[in-house]
Amino acid sequence: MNPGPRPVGLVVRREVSERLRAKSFLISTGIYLLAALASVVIPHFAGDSKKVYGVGVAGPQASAMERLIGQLAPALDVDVRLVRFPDHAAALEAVRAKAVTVAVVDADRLISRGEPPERLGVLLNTASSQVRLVDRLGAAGISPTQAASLLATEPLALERIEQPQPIRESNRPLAFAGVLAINLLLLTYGFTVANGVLEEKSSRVSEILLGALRPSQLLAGKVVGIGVVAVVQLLAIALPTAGVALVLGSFSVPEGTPLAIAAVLLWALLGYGLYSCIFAAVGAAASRPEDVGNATAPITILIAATYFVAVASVQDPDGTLATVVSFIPPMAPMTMLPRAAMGHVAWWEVPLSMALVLLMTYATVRLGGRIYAGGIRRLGPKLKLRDAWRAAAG
Amino acid sequence: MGPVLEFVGLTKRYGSLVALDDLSLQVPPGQLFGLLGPNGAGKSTAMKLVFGLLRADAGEVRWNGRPVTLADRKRFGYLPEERGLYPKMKVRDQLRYFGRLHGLSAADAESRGGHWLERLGVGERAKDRAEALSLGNQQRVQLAAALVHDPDLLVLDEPFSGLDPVAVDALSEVLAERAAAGVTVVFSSHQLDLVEDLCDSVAIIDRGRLVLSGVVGDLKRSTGRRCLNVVIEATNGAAPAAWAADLPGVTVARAEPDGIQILLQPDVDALAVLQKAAAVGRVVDFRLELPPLSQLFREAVNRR
Repeated sequence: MNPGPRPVGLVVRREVSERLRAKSFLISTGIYLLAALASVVIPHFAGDSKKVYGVGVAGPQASAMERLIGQLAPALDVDVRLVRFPDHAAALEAVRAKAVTVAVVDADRLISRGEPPERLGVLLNTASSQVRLVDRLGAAGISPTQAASLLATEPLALERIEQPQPIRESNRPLAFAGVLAINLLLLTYGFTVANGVLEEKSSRVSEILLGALRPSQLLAGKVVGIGVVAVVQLLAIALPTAGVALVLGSFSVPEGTPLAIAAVLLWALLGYGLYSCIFAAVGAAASRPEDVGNATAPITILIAATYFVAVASVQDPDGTLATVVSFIPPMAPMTMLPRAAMGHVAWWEVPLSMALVLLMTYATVRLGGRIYAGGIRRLGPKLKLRDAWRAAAG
Repeated sequence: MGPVLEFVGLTKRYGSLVALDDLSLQVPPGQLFGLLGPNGAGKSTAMKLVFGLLRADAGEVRWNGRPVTLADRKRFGYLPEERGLYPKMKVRDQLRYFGRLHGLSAADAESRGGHWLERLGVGERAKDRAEALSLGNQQRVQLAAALVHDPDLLVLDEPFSGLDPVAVDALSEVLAERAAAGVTVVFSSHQLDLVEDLCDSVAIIDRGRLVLSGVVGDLKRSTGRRCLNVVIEATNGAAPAAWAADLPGVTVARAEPDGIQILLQPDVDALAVLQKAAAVGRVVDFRLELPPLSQLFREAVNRR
């Protein structure tokens, strides 16, 4: 007998083509994409990443102040926009009208509506004290050129005792987005698997399918097919978002973005592989959609808890908690990512973590596959996981 | 002789309930075989065992003398007790999918699916989602799904329930044609009298055990008895049912206000009985026939 097309491939193709065409898929992808785009576009145009302060200057020392502010601002990481005013009254009016944040008059008076921003205050105080120092040195007979060379100082020579281990701050948004994406993907597609299995079981389509293929083939096709859909959705959201971010320069490390997407994708797939067969087993043991919600509660609580731990890892990627959880297989897919992206991991840590996840995946596939095989054939109103396990045993 | 489906000592228990109790029977090819019995007799359980949807506690299902394998099942067509279609999938796509799973090429699956939808009268619904169809039409699609890959064995669980008379005719024609082509066809029904004309052979089961089996005509003739249905319009107000009670060789099977059904022993002259009836009142209707399967079933169950 001609074996015909591979049954698993047929199941995969049905899952992919039916789900990609579903309205719910298009709508949810659109919503996620809009949210992701908004998260990179809005901060860019809102410009809250770097505030530019308007600083007015007036009086005889105005030019000297302008020059020094211009020199010192980059070192203090403050962006300023300088505006010259003819006199004290004009500067005062400009601050009152909020045309500028603050104004410096004669290098000895700072006009501000309230307390001036801290670093801006430091900048202006440093600049004005230097202007006044040069002024006094001039009064003491030292020319401005001499004064400048006297005042020119080298920064402190640094003698390091330990190598610095700064976390890569610039990767924080990517790490957080990755953790969020994996969390949503595990929950969304975990439920998709559980409900997809239940749909075939409760509609009795499984009775026809199992005449033509083994439970393991049906399970493999469903898990792989839904996994393909998950990857398509992740890429459909991540790639346009990364493209827009690159164009806008929202991330300070755009060259790392493709690698980051690849890492998120890899960990998302590892996590999906780990959890999907458990979700499938729950779907096969259930008989109504409500059962799925109840029976998956332990898994969804675990995923949600992992998400909060992973957010903590994003805050402190080199901490003890972050390190420990990144080697606990059910938690590793979400918690290794922030460590690898922002913190410091030895070369063997990521492969070891992945190996542990794969080991556990083998266990969940065996366990989940067996419960699934028992559950998908039993159609009674109530089925305990234990009974499904036994039903598959014989 | 084509392939034979055999149940050999099938036993299936659900907890303390015995669904099948050492059931053995053979379904020969080339004829319509009815697996009949009341609700809960074990018909659906037996059919599920053919497809490995349940595991037998004892015994096995054989095809061509060997235990059924997955490769065999790909050449079987099944109409499950509770119909199974993807609610949101287009009818045509479902048939193509089922056809391909059973080993058809994409082109064959497409054309065979279209053929059976046309044949069963739902061709114009091919592009609709299954959930948009009426229950009767869903059932036709379901039948098309069982037929799409031209199976060697058709196992249909209550295929006629829920169909209108036109669809019943169309389906019996299809099944007879399949059987004539050498396919083994077995279907179940709990309405014995409705399907007895359709079946060539039957196996009647009750509480998981075989009660009666054989060619329908042989079974009905084997007792030598006949069944006489008479409707009398009473002229003198006497109870019309009482007239037959004392006749020799006659048993009243059913007595209802609009007529009685009486069983005649082999040596009883039916015309003589009818004359007695005519003496009581005006005979408006009468019908002499071999006993229906339901009658044979009732007697067989009582005897046990």
